[in-house]
Order: sequence, then structure tokens, then C-alpha cells
Amino acid sequence: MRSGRYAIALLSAILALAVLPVRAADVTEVPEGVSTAALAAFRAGLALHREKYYAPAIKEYERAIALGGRFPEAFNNLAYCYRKTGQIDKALELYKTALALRPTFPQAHDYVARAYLAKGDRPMAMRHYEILRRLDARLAHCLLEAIRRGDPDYNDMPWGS
Amino acid sequence: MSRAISPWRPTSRDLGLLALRAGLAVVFLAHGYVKLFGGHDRTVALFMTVNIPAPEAMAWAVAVLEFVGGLLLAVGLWTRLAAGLLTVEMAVAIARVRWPQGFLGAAEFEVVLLLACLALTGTGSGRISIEARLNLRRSVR
Repeated sequence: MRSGRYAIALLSAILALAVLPVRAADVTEVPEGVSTAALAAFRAGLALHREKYYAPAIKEYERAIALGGRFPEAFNNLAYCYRKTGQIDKALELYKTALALRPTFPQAHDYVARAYLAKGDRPMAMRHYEILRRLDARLAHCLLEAIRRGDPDYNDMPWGS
Repeated sequence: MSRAISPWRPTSRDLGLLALRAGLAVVFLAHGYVKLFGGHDRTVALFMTVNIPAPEAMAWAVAVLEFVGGLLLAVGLWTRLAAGLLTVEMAVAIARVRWPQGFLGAAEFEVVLLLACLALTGTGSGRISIEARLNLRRSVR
């Protein structure tokens, strides 16, 4: 009888502990183990990126990655800059790396779809749209409009995080 | 019956197994709960990205496995089966999602879960569990 009560108490405690971290799971992921130098280079790249100075931004992002900044935002932003300078194949490879590091990265799905669209690969663009609509409905809506128009730059918002 | 040889009396091994089950149960219940209640689309998106076949169905299957598996580990019922299935799930998660992200800060957690589930698959639940009680009752009859 007493052991039954212990079992119920234990089960309740486990259930309570299991539900507690659920709220924390929604918090945006912050890259761990990134060196200060890599973060500084990333931020320098970001500042240039936001001003649309893509060529110098590429150098800073590449420096950030070389310094050990293997976090998805670095690859995603670098790919964006390559895409904007017309180097689509290079951009595609970098988007794939960003998605390998964080498969549920909405902006990377949006941008990789646009890169495929720029290459004329509509089925792959639609595939990433199908993924994106499960992650971010607003972004997916903008992307779908771009796919419909066949214009990768339509509603293409420079993200830069 | 002497208390010292009572099959009801847990040993330190049983307490260790209970702690192991409790730790795993918390993790799998939490992850299963998120996937079942509100995180389904995210799981499908993840499975589509890493090319898991039938992503919709697999997302439900994994959510149910984690939630029910966590409950079974907590109470100690069908422990070997639950831990075995969770071991397979962790192996797939490591191979398809985590390994390309590296070990530190990425695959390390799933590797620990895999090994802990593997250990429970081998040992079973221990005596502080429903299945031990059921087995004892059967043997008394």
C-alpha cells in the first residue's frame, strides 16, 4: 500500500519535471562555444550585410567561420551575400551547411528555396516551401508569392541576425 | 519471511536503475509532450529536411514513442521494450540529425541517452517497478 503511494508520488514528480522544461524549449537557440573573435567578425559582417556591402560582408563572415564560428546564422548570412552577388552554387552549398547545423531554421529554408528558384529548380523551391510553411506561415506566404511569380527577389527580406 | 531476504526489499542496484529510469523518463516525457501538443509541424519540418521517409506518420510515431516510452520507463513496465525502441530512435537521431552538427554541444546528449537506454534494455527495470511486482505476484501464485 505504502509502496503504491511512493510510486504515485514518483510518477507525479516525473510528470511535473517533464512538463516544466517545455516552456523553456521555445526560447531562441543561442550558439554555444563560439569564440569572442568569431562573434566579433560575425557582427562586423552583419553590419556590412545590413548596409548591402556584400563583398566585404563575405570576408567578415568567412573570417568568423574560420575562427570557429560554426553556427547556422554565419553560414546563412554568408550564403545570402553570395546569392546577392550572383554566386548561386556557392550559396546553395552554404545553405545546406546552415540547414545541417539547424534543420528547422526558417530563414535558411526561405533563402535556399529562392536560390533554387534563381537556378530554375522550381520543384526544390516548392519542397523547401512545404517545410517552411510548417515553421513560419508568414515567411512561407511571401516565399510562395515569389515562387508563383518566378522571381527569387520578390519579397526577399534581408534577414541578418 | 525474513525481511533481509524479502524480494520486495530494493537493493542499491534497484535504486540506481530507478534513478536511471526517472532521468530518462523526464527527458522523453518532455520531448514527447512537446511533439504531441504543439510541436508536430516543427517535427515534420525537421524530418522533411533530413529526408526521413513518411515524415507526417513518423512524427506522430516518434512523439507517441517518446511520451508513452517515457511513461513506461517511469513506472517500470515493459521497460526493455520501451528502452530498446528509444535506443533505435536515438541511433537514427544521431545518424541523421546530430552527427553532422558535431559532438560537443550537439550529438553528446543523444549519445548519452542512447547508452542509457541501451543499458536499461540489458538490465530491465529493477525491483522498484510495476513489472517486478507483477512478476513477483505471478511467482507467489
